[in-house]
Amino acid sequence: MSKPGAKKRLLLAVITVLGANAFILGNVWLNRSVVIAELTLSERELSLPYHWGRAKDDSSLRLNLAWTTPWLTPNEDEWHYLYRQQQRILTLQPPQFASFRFGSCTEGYQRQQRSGWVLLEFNGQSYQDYLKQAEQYYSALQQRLAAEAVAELNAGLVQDRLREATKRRQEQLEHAEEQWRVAREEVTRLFVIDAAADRNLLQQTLAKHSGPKASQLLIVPADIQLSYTWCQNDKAAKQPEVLVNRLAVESLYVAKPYAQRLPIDTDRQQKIRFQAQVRYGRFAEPWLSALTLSGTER
Amino acid sequence: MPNLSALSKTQAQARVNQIRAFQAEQQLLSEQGILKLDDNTSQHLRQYHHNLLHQLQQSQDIDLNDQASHLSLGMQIVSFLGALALAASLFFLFYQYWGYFDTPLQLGILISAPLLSLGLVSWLYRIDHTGYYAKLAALVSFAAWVLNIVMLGSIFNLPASPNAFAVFALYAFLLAYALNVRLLLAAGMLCSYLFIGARFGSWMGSYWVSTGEYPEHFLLTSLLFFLLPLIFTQQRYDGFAAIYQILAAVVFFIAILILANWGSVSYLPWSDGVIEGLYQVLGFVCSALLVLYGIRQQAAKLMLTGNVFFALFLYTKFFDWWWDGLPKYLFFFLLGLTAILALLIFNRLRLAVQTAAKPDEVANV
Repeated sequence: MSKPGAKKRLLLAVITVLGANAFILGNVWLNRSVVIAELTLSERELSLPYHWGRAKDDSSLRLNLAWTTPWLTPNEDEWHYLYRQQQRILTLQPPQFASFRFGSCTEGYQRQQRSGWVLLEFNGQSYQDYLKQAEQYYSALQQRLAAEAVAELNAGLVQDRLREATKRRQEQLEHAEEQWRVAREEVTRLFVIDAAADRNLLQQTLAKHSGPKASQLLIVPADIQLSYTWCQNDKAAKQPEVLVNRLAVESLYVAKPYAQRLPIDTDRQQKIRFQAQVRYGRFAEPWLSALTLSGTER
Repeated sequence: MPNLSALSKTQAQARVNQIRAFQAEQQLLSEQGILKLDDNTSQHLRQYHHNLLHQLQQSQDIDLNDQASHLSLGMQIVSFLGALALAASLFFLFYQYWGYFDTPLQLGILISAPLLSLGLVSWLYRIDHTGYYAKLAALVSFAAWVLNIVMLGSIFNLPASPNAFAVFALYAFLLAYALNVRLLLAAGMLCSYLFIGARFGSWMGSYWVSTGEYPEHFLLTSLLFFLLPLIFTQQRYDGFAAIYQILAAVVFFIAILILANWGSVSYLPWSDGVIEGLYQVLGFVCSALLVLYGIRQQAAKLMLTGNVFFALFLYTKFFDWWWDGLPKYLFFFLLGLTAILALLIFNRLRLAVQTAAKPDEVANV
């Protein structure tokens, strides 16, 4: 090295590489040394990327966590019904909402983002409530269509129009059946049920749950934003609502032994069904501890 | 022979240019019969310059003539493009074959990539006196380091953290100062901007990923970077002072320009109009001060930066005032007139500077 100090700086660079890697790996070890929750998720909660096995430049696999929030107001409107599967709005208790210390609406709701914590619930009460509402929606639709059929028969419609109406009702019924099946078999059972800037507030909520279902609850970091409804200028009472923008970890890396178990769906025609053990450690960082293929469907 | 090791590459190149200009002028004067040196003095002078140039060329790899200078520029451009291409190649190589490796092997590759590339840097620096190959390897090493941290976070599902930018910056600064790589200095500065901005944003209660939405995050860091070469001399590092000050000024003025037009993205608790007005004034004053500072320090690039941003502040103001109200021909005519006015002012400044530099010419006038 001709320049004075160059050798020393390169040595410091080596120390930086080794030190940072040791720090990260040490943290990973610390996180994984204590398991705070273990969930058995499936393809319902862990979605395969669209390009799996077909991306020329990326041979690795990450599974994206699919989650939603509870919808408190029952609504039979179909658009709302479907939208619930991917919504991010969460109504909070006043202490939880206040913990975020959101500014006034003049600052704009979009810019009021905060780092916080959310309470995740897997296959718990929120999902059961959702199933109940979906079933009610399906039953109500069945009853409405049956009543329509009777009314049309009594109205004495001509044969062609009657056939047409029967066909339309049949299509509606099939569509509703499919939605009901999707609610039971396809949609995510992972719900974000509470949020706060202070983790202790959520610990208190968590402490209220007991029994076997308590192990299906966990607190993870997330990015929270003030909901647009809070800043609407209507005269209705303001709901303390937030938008859960994203979880701090939204996808899980699939190590080679597990990735090899998932068949590559080159034409995107088959449904790959699998079960995955996901563990959350001391720092609420998740990892995949097992993955088994349940089957594939065309 | 004077001690040449203390000279930076820029200073050494300036000395070479000075010698070449002297030799050309001496030859011209002797051809016109104005300057006549005896053979002994002339021979002594030639020998002295020859030795000096040889020594400078050996120690600093400077260009001894115009052709070499042009080729050097070409080599700089090629090595920059080569470094970018090699970094991209490394990046895609990782992703292409990543899924075929088990985790321990992935870890081994990730950690050894920056270390091996550092070894390559060290070896190239010893065998290649021009330093181009070592600098190129240093840029690849930086890319390997970024990949190391990013991929480690990816395979262990770690939440994104602004601290990653701190370690990227540290590594970039260490390599930049070890090998005199300006591009890595700029990379280190940009990573520092992101790290400090994200931390500042977190303290202010916002989510760190949104750091770019608040230009005020970058103002203090820009001032610190601008002042850094004034506090810690960068004489031994070729072009570092200029990079610090120019990049800091560019980031500072872009932030001010955004705030001067969109006051809503400010932290200040005033109305948008007041905030925009404040930053417009600040933009005009600071860009004018930078022009004056550039003239005083004889830093042409800083002066140019100040000029460009002063013009941008002026033209955005003109746009606000007149674009809707005036016919387009009149709007552009006014822009043209302001350019002529600026030309007159600069011409006056130029005359004043030249007069101040040559007091004997003033006496002649």
